[in-house]
Amino acid sequence: MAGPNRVGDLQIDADLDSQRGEWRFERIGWAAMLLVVAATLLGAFGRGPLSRAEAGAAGGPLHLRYERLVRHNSPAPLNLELAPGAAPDGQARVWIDHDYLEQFDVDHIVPEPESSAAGPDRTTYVFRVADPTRPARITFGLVPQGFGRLRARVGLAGQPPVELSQFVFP
Amino acid sequence: MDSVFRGLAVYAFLFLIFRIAGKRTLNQITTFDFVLLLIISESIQQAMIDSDNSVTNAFLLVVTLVGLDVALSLVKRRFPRLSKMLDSTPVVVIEDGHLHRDRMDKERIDESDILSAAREHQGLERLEQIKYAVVEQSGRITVVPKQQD
Repeated sequence: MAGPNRVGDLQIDADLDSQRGEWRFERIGWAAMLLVVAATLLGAFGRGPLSRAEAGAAGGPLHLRYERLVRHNSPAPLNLELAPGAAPDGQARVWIDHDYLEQFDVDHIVPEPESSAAGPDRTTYVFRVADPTRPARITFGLVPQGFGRLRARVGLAGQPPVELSQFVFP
Repeated sequence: MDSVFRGLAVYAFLFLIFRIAGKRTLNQITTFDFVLLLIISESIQQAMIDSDNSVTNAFLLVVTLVGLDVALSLVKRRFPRLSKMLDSTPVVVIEDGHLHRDRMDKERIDESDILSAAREHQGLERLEQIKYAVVEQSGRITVVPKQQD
């Protein structure tokens, strides 16, 4: 290893060329940080306009509102809207792919289901609907435990399922 | 397994961020920068722990972080050019009494910073008493006074 350089009377390991490269790297880094902040504000990392998603026809029997970009261990609620008439006997049967549920901590379900049933590939929740002639809303308080792409289907018994797609940031 | 990745990821990220921020960020003594460093440590902690409060997780994280530090120091000895990239190099901002204003701009320091360092380390009074001033790798400014006749 060569000994330190000299700058005038100083023995010092200064390297101006290398330093200039480093200054350029700093400036590029600042631009990147600015981009990250801008993207964050837009919701590119979740919790913003870019990240809000809906699934299911607006007037259809089942309509989902959720965040398509979510983060590990950070709440990612799944909101369901049931159209009037979706629960003719005052009971709404909602099922969710079990593969999807496995990726989450289910922190709370509002309202609490009356019962739930396990199936080979899906879990079914039965909710009491106060007034079957009006829309009903259910919220699953989900907290992602893994990371990566997630795809799932959610359905109302007897109706075609609705697909949702999310990405979990680590 | 993920404890190791989490430790590595956090270490690499903080390293990159502070290299982008420049030498002085880690060495400033203003209140704002002090608060910043405190808050950064708080922000990072939760992510590294990730709800795993076991002793096992804590040990794994520490082993990963210290191990990475040791590995990097060995790599730097072996590859000096890598060492310059990882650690930065000192920048001479006053050379034989002459101020390099362009370098001072790039390092985001001004004359008062240099004078402050000159007072602190050498007890100097004026700029013209300084022969050399260097922004070290650590961000500290060191000063060599002119020889008194």
